[in-house]
Amino acid sequence: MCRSPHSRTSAGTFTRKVSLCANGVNRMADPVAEKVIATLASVKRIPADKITLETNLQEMGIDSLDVFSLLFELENAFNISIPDDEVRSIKTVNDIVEGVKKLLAAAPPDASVGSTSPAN
Amino acid sequence: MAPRRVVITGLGIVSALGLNVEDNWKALCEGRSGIGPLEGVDGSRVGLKVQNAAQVHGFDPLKHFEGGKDAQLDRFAQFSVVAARDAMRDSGLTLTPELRENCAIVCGSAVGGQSAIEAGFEDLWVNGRGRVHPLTIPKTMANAGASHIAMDLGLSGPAYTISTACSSANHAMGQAFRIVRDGLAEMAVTGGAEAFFTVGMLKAWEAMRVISPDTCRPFSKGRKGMILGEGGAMMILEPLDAAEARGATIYGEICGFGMTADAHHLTQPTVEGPARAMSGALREAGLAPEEIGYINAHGTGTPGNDPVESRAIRKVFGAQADKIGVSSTKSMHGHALGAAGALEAIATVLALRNGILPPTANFTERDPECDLDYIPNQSRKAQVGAALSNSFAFGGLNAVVAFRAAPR
Repeated sequence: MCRSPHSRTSAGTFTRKVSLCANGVNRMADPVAEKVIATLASVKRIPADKITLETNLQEMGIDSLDVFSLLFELENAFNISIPDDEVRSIKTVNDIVEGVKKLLAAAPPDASVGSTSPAN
Repeated sequence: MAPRRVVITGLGIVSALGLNVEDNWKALCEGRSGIGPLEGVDGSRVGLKVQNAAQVHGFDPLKHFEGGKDAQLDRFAQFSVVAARDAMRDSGLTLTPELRENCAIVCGSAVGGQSAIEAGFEDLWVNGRGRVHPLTIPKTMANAGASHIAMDLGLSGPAYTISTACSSANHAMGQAFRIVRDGLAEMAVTGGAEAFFTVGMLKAWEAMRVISPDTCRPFSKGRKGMILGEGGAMMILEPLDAAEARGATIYGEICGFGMTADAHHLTQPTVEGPARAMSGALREAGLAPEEIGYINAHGTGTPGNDPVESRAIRKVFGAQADKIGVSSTKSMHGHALGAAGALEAIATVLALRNGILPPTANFTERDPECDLDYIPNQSRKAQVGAALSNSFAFGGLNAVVAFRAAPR
């Protein structure tokens, strides 16, 4: 899943991608990433194996309405509450994964909205 | 500008009778009902009594909407778009930029995307979730059908939705007809769509005590009420001269529209209101009563509607009423509320075109209170020149559309 980043010109992006691969972060080993990718695949009705951590959301055709739906599904899937501020900087799948991890680490699962655990 | 003659050059339909015009027409000709056991709605927890319905089967949103777009449209809006696409394709029109800007969209829907908001409320109050789907509002809005048609087909003229309960589609088609006739737009997409099979909506209908426990037998003795239906139907309207110039297939002419309010009762119809609406449609169309050979009745199958509608027809047509074939195709496609008039308009237009009058299905016995020719159970070959299609809504709002066979 670590495709060669020939087309990238940004050194930062390159370094980051390398570090992702070097750290062995992939969906099989990372349940959060796996769940994010599954959620994304479900929202866009595409196979999960078409999505990698490096996938750019805009390039995969995610528009603003898809983002609303995606956030809703992620909030349900992880039982978190995603603040509006966190949304603006998202560009790649990995941005979402990192954001979700940050929210999961920062607070216990959002229990303020009722005790029933979402089915999905 | 002189009023233009307006013709129908494209049809699209999704109903309990099928997912295309051919299947619908075949079922109508065979007197085959799409009514069956209610599926996909679990009302056991709240003792839902509604058992039968005219549901659309085999409609797969994923076949029509890619990339997750299906989740952005409530089922009623999906029906709207699919029917509009089919109608546009059927018309064979080439949409120039100018035509796109001058194409109106007028849709009818009684309850819009109520099922979307019901799902949201269920999440809140039943499932104890703190959030509802973020597209609940744009999925629920009654104009979602018209808006999605505009976006999907790239049509940017006047577009809106009319919501007058069971008359919605007839009001919509009547408005679209006048818009094209008067030159306010060069063409129009018009019709109606409805999809409301949720526990809450069905319980609400059940509470009105108008739903039949078995099937829908309009005008028949022993009828027990209506059977709810769902679906969507759209047609393309354009001026006769434009249609002829491009050699289009002309299904028929939409030539008159009459609308009235009973100003009487929320649910009990009057004779006068519907009669004045029929007379208004005839007047606008320039049709004499003896020119009408078929009426697609509102014919809900309730004890209340059918005798009153029969008397209204008698009031307008007098002895001539005995020469008119009157049928309620709701006996086959169910009562699809804001889509009803559109489903019935297609039945009416095809009856004129094909010289076959669709029957009233499930008819068992004559009711002395209903004294017209209801074309019981079997379609009838009859070449008629003009027809009316009736819709009468709760709230006493009546809308009647007049059609002529295509100019020959």
